[in-house]
Amino acid sequence: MMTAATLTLGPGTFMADHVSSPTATPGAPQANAANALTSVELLARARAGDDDALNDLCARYLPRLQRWAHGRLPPWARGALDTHDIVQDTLAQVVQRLGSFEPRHDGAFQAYLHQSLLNRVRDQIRWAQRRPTDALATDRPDEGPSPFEAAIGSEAVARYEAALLRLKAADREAIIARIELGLPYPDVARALGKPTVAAAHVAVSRALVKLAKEMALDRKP
Amino acid sequence: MTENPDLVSTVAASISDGLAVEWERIAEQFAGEDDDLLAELKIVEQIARFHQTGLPGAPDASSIYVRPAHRSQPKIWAHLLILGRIESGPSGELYLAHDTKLRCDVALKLMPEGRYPAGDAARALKEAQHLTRIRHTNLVTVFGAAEASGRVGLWMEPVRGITLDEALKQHGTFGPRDAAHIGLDVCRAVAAVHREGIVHGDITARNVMRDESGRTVLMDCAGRMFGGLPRTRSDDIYGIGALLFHLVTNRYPVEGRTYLRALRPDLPDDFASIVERALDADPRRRFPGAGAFEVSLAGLVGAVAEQGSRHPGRMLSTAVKRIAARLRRGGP
Repeated sequence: MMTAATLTLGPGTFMADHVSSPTATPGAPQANAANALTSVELLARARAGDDDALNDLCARYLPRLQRWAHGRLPPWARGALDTHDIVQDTLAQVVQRLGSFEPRHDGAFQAYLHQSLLNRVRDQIRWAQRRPTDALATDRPDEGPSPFEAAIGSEAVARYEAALLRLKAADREAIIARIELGLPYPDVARALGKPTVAAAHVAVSRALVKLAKEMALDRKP
Repeated sequence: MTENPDLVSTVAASISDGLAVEWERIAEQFAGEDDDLLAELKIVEQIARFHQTGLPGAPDASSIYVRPAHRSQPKIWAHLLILGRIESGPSGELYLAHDTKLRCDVALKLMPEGRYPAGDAARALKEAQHLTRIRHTNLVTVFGAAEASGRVGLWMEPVRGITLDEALKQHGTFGPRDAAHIGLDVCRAVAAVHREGIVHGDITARNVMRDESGRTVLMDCAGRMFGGLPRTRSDDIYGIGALLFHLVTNRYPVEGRTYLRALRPDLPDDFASIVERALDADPRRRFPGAGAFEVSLAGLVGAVAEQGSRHPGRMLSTAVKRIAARLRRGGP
């Protein structure tokens, strides 16, 4: 378990020490005490009934996951539910279910959360494809791609997702933490159980090379 | 088999860092070697960028898009080193700059060049300095303001993310709950601005960003200061209403006509009513203030309204309540 002192903190964290001009008052850094607890610790407390821990867990993941889910759902599949509902629902289910599955570290928790949300998004798409069309509805199910698939290409996305599943757990967690969730490196280090940001960086880079090799196996000539 | 492991590793390291990869140069210099792997890495890079900003192909996921230096661009302004131009418009120019005192990068907004009556510049400076006193998580933080080299400018936190305008283009219209949450955040930011006696004057989807962590940020309070039309608080209420209308329909409201329900019949009645009230042609019938608007939206999504507090506190209480209730029930 690493301590905060060994992590490289970003420039923003030190801004409060550099106030020199009367008109220049830097904003307070976003750090708070809860950032010192791992997600796994927050999860354990939340399951024990600690609503503050639950709140911190939500604050840590909901905004990122909402943005992620918004890109993965085609507009026609959103229906009356917003990505807010889908993401909150999924987080609730995951928090509930994780008594039996003990995540070793945050990376495993994130990977589990990520896969659960992906499954939920796919369920939502299948549901939307099957529902009867409403003559008044303005979003007709033209079954176009999600913004993500439109941007990257359905075939490339399929290859990427298949390759991701074939990676070892540690490599997959590195990709999910940095590439999918876009976490800053101190958080990535914590998630992967690495002692330094440099070690986390190496882990992500190596995982990327392995991912590329897996993807290349499926590429049609 | 990897022919040039160093090349592939270097490209992977750049992607993991969020740095732009010079694909053309690599293709020219290393054609034929590891083409397959590099092609896959290029896709992964686009995926990383999409998740950061919603925009594949944007040059550098970890920074703001900065155009190459223009000859007429200033190099230094006050104590700031200008790194590049982000955009220019009628209300002035926006640069990415390095603050040599704070020792961090900032976004610098400079008043348009030209001759102004002395009173205008002094007033703009005073209002800009006033902005530095406002702190709100949903309002871009202004660090400082000054007059130098004959121009008034202010410098603020560089927000990394996309505008709601871009989000609309990329992801399509928003649902009512997502829009209501954004509206809540913007109301809170506007309430903080109004409490200081300032009117924002330019609330649009282009002026509201969603940063990397999903935070809603209202930008560019300086739009009106640098030569816009006079605006009232009620104009800001209308602006938030117009923003919500835009987010759920991808169109702009036409003054005097209410046809939100015709465009989106699936919207919940109470959401539509709130937006329509904000858009009322008669300012006296709109919400009397951003706080009242916020309370109505909060009632919609079950959130706790800020009610004038400086720190938003538990903004996610709905999610927490629902999840906590499920945990206690123990069932699905």
